[in-house]
Amino acid sequence: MAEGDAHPYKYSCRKCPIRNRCIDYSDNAPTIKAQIRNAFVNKTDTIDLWANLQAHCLLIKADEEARKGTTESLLSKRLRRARKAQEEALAGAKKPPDAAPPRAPKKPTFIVPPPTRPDDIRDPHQLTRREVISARSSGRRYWVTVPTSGRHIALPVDGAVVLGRYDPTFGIPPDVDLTFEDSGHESISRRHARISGTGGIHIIEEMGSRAGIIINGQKLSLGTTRRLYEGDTLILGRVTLRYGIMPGWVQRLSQYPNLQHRLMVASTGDVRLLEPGAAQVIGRSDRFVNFTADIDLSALGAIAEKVSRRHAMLSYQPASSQWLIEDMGSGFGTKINGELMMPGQVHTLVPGDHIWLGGCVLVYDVEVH
Amino acid sequence: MANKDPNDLETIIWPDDKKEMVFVAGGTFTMGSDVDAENAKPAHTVSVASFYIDRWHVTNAEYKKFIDATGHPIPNYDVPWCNTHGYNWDVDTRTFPEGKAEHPVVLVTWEDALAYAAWAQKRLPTEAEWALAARGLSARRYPWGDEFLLNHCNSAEAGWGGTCPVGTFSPQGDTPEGVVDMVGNVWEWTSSLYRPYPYRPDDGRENPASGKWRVLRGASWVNDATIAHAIARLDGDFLFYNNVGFRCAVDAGEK
Repeated sequence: MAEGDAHPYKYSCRKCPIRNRCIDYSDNAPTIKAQIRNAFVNKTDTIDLWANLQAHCLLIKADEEARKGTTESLLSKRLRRARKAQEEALAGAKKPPDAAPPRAPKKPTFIVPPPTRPDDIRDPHQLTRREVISARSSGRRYWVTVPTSGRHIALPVDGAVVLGRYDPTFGIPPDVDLTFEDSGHESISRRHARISGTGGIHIIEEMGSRAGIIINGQKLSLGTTRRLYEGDTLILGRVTLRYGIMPGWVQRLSQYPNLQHRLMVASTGDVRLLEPGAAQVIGRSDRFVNFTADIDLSALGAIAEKVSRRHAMLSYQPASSQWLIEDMGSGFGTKINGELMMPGQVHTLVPGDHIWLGGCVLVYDVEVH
Repeated sequence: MANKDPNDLETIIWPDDKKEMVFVAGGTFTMGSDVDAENAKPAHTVSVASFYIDRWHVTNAEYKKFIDATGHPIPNYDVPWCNTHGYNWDVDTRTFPEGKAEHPVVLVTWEDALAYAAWAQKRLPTEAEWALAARGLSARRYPWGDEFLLNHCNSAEAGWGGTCPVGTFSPQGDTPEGVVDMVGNVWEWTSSLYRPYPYRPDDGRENPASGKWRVLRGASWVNDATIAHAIARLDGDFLFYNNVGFRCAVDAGEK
């Protein structure tokens, strides 16, 4: 393609500030797109290539819109800004080199919150280092109990869990699935609350749910956080939760001879008993490959869709009366209380632990007789 | 599907917010589907009276007029669970982000949408009206036909990675009546409560006072072709999102 204004097109793709967007936007395969980009860099672009790109040219569209008398569109505005910046840069280049480069006047901008990572634990409560260290060294662990179902939710010392419900149509379940407790009410949102821990101090955060959170009779307003204290009553929609210290017996299970270990499927409330003894594989039985899992989740249907055939292994420790869990190289991974297990990592289950198996959430609990 | 000539569209300009509205003839049509997601089952027939629906989403510029007229709170939030960067309005000038005048307004709650509709003397479409506008009496899967096509809507495949100016995919992505962006760009609030099908307008699901979840339709730039179609339903169990907007409707007999 020759330089200058000889081409029949209104816009020069070579000079276009948003050319890459048109390239992305075209129906070409990724490799072709890369070739087109290279062609522009090497200045080997052809008129056919322009024809291909300008079929989707956003500038032409913006121009047509402008001619229709509508307000200036995003793209024409951006183009104008780009031209202006170019002119300013040219004007600046003519000045003596020791003069400071002219800057575009800074507009009063609104304060943009830094993009927060999902695992980002914010600390608006200004926990002091001393406070965190003393909480950590006390070794206290906290959990949330659901009085209606007797369920426990162990909270991570460091890390965050999202409380919510299972949605069969969109997305994956949260770390702590309250579908069963909420059944019949439809008051828990997909993502309702987040509890994040720092050294054992927990902070709760509202996640834009419609029903909201009420703590000790006080509504938690949107986007705010609150530190949790022992004995706090949390009401999420229609579900009441109580925050408290994990009792001491949880750490000394071996003292109790008549223990019943249970696994509950969080979204349905089904309970499976764990018989102490040989190691058990949690997974999805598949008759086509003649595989039967010890703890079979295939009957759960869509919830267990992402559970691998051999997903995780539970092994019993007779000395401490505890179960260990290990991921078996599953496709979607295993999370314990919101934290993804590394390959080869072994976790000792504590009552109230939520085991996330590629979307299906199981709750481990113990009953002492 | 052959689209009508833009000059032949049966449109009106609504006096209150100067928005173009398209006439959708009422009738009996099929809602839902027997093969799609569980919440869209079963397919059933519904009758709807004629109505007018906004040709495109309520844009930032249009929402600004409402904000200026009423002093309604602006969409500006700082929350960790929703990336509001690039969508938050300026607190000082009470204006949408620069260059997004023609983008659909997002970060609006259902109550915000209702307030806008009340100001413009309109209302939100019911779920059945929305479905009729998008799918037509022939119950198409997409506004333009039964096949997913590239460059017809702002779904994840389009690669915008955000909202786009309304009408970016017009006219190829329009319905035959000329309604723009019914699928893709942003989810749209409807006036109906999220209840299982079959849709029955008289079973209390149009109760405006209920605090339960409302249905969202139309999918957004986040969703890919598995969800970006005119059958998908989403329950609005949240207050707002960066991919949720709305458009309004009015009864055909009114003006």
